[in-house]
Amino acid sequence: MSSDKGGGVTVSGLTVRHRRTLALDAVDLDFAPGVHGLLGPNGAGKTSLIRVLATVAAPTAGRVSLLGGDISNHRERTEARRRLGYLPQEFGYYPGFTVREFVAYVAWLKEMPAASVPGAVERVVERVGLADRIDAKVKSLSGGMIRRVGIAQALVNDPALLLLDEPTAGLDPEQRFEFRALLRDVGTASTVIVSTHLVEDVATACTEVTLLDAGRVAYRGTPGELSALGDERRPGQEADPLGDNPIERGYTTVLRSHRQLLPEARR
Amino acid sequence: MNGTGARTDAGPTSPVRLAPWFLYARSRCLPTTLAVLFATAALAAWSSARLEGLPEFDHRARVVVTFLAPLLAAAAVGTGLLTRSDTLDRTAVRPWWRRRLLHLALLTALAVALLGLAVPGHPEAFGAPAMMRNTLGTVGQAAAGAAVLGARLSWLPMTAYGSAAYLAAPRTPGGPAAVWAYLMQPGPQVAAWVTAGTVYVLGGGLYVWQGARTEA
Amino acid sequence: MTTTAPGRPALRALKAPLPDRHSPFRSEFLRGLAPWTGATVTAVLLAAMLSKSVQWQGSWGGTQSLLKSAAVLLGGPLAVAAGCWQGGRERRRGTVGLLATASRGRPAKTLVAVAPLTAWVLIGYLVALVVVLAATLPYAHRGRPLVSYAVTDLTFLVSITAVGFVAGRLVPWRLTAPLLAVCAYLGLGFPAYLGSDLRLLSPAEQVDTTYVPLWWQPLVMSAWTGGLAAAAFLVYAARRRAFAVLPLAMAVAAGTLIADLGPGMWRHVPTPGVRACGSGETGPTVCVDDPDRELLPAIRAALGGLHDRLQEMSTPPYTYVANNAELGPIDVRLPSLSRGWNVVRDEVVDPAAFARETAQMLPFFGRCSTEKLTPAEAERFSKLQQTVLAWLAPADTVLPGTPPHGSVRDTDLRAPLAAMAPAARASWLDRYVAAARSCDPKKMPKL
Repeated sequence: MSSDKGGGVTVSGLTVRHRRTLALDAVDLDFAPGVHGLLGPNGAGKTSLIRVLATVAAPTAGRVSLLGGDISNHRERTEARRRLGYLPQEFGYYPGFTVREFVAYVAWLKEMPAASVPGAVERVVERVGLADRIDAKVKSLSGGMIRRVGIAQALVNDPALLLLDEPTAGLDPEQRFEFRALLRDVGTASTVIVSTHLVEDVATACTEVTLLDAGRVAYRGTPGELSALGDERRPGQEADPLGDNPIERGYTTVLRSHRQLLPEARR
Repeated sequence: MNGTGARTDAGPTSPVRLAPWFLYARSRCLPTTLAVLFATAALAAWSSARLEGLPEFDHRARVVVTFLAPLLAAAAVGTGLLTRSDTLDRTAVRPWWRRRLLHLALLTALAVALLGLAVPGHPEAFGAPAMMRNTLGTVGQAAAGAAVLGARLSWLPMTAYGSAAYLAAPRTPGGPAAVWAYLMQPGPQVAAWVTAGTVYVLGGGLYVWQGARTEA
Repeated sequence: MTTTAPGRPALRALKAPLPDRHSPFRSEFLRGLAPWTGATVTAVLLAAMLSKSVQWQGSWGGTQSLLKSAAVLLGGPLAVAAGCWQGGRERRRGTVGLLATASRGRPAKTLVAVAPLTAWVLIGYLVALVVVLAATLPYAHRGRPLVSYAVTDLTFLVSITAVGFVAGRLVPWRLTAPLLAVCAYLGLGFPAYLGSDLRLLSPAEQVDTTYVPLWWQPLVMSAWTGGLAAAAFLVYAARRRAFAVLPLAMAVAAGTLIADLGPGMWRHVPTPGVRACGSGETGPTVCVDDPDRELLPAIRAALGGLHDRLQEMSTPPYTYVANNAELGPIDVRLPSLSRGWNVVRDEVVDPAAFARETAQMLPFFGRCSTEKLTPAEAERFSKLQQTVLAWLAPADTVLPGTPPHGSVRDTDLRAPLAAMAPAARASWLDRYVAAARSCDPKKMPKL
């Protein structure tokens, strides 16, 4: 099942404005199949980007091409949505539904063929490790399990584009480990974009890292390159403790240099 | 930030805006509740005056007003009991039941007074005493509803009961119907007052003791 | 990893006809607010009907019209509040983003949220309908239940649930649901206070139960309520909002038709004209319409005392006939039999009051105008009439609507007549009858 699902994501000149704040400022990005990490401080525009890619929010300006279709066209947008999986940061659910019913509901929302839904639901619930709770009501599950239900509903239609906003919040280390393995597995054939604050997610699971700051792209590269940046010694400067591990140090280094280059980006 | 002296009264750090009672009122959406109470009283006054003015009806036609207006007022009070930060509230130093008691008592007093003023005249037939008694009873039921079902649904049990009582109440006042259909009694029935008072004490007591149920 | 046990094909075949566990309609149908709403609608309607059971048991028209009032004035606010609550569900639960990313069109998503709730409301109404119809069946002897009432009620309930749903989706306020319920009650009940035909625009309004709706009345009413709701729904849910103009136009046309025609949408049901009579060696002869024949024994028993006392006089034995029959020379008109008032489930509620009302229709009462009499004579006339009435049909209960006779009770009124010997009383009464027939105060006997 490693056939390329085609398309990928291309974003050009994307601008998103929330009332008077500029969340994203003429961003140009493209995402090929693989696992992409999205890092950045709060308010940098990560969630806005994910929401635009999930077609939940409309861009103020710019062009977004998802899986070979331009999302400003209704038909192509609908086609892209069928092959899309999205886990919001604040995952809402219907408490009275069972896990099976909720995931099946989302499968119906994604217009999956009715015959394939039961099998897909059971497969994906087992994949996230909730097979023994499949007929339990969602309100009876703990926070981490609810987030896993969220991951399951994002995966139910075998998406070509998977968008995850803080997916590991509430998961214990063992579950996070399994989740990263899942990401790597999914990323072999699909485009996965993960927005997260946890750098070890980025370090181990992602093949590429994008750093956003104040609505602009501050850095693009592999996690290894980002770590290397953090370890460079700059002559004549105190070795500030920039972070506890290489990626954090790289992260802080990039942000500082980005903010020095573009002081008007600070708001 | 706080350079100008006298001008800070209107700013975000002014003593009024940060006063505990003001913040509490905003956290419970009190302005909206008060607005709804005033609007309900105004509407009740207007419609009862209008009903009395219609040719075939007299002051007894106000039964509809004395039935619906307290329901609406109690719904406003009940849904205003919603607290979004229930878990945080429970970590406060002083026990919350006193604040809840004060909140409920003040709102009840205001609602009773406002609605009572809305139907002047003919106190023996669906006038001010009936309106005030009904308001007392329905607020008690709404408070109990908030404790049992959560503030957002607190209006439900009293509406269901009220509709049933409205339909099934016999035409002649008094008798056993003064207890189970207390909302429909015209005024002087003591049993109805006792029922309304008991409902208020029990319902309000339940709310003050338990607080509004946290909604998932 | 399936959990069904292998080697049990028979059991699996049994499970096959059940609806697919993965269908969203099934999930929405079984979970959440919808089943509770259906149960509540049934409970409310049955409670309302039960509390007024004396008024409808025994009459199909009465049953259905009272159920219609209950369904519109009670079920309507309940349905609109439930719809509003369901509409706000996505906002309360935080699934708005998740739904926005779905490829299903908005009409489909909205329908799957509102249709199960509407289905339960309809089920609630139908259960109540079946129960009350079954309760009326043993006592109803004329007519039959009509589908038109059910059709209008069902379309109304669907419409108002949809309107509540749209309001709940659009307005993010906590008080919307109870406020809508109160507004629905006022809006549906208020037209009753209007005098003109505009009041028939409210589905709660109806005409007398002797009228039956024409075959197209439910269609017009459904077009009115359904058109408004469909317009609101399409404005919210459809991609091309202009489609909402069609149901709106239909609703406006239907509403104009209703306001124009008014009661013209019903037709009067003539009484069948067949009479059933009951008579015997003792007791009065009573004739009523054939469908009311079950009441004959009760009416004859109620009029027995009156008949016996009249037999003391030299008046001929009267025949008591139903309210709408033509009167012969010895016929006396019975009070109109209305269920829930003087007749309940084949029994007469208050036989004494019934006899009194019948006695007031005797040919020698109330025929004289008091214009040519002096006030003293008129007062004596009236007092004598009360006395004779009190003797013929004693009724110590005060009839509704009639003022009490000062503070004089019937036993005091009839005391002088009761104290007389039977022969003297008979001749006194005959003289009274002669005086009453000729309207001559000089012939009035003295007590």
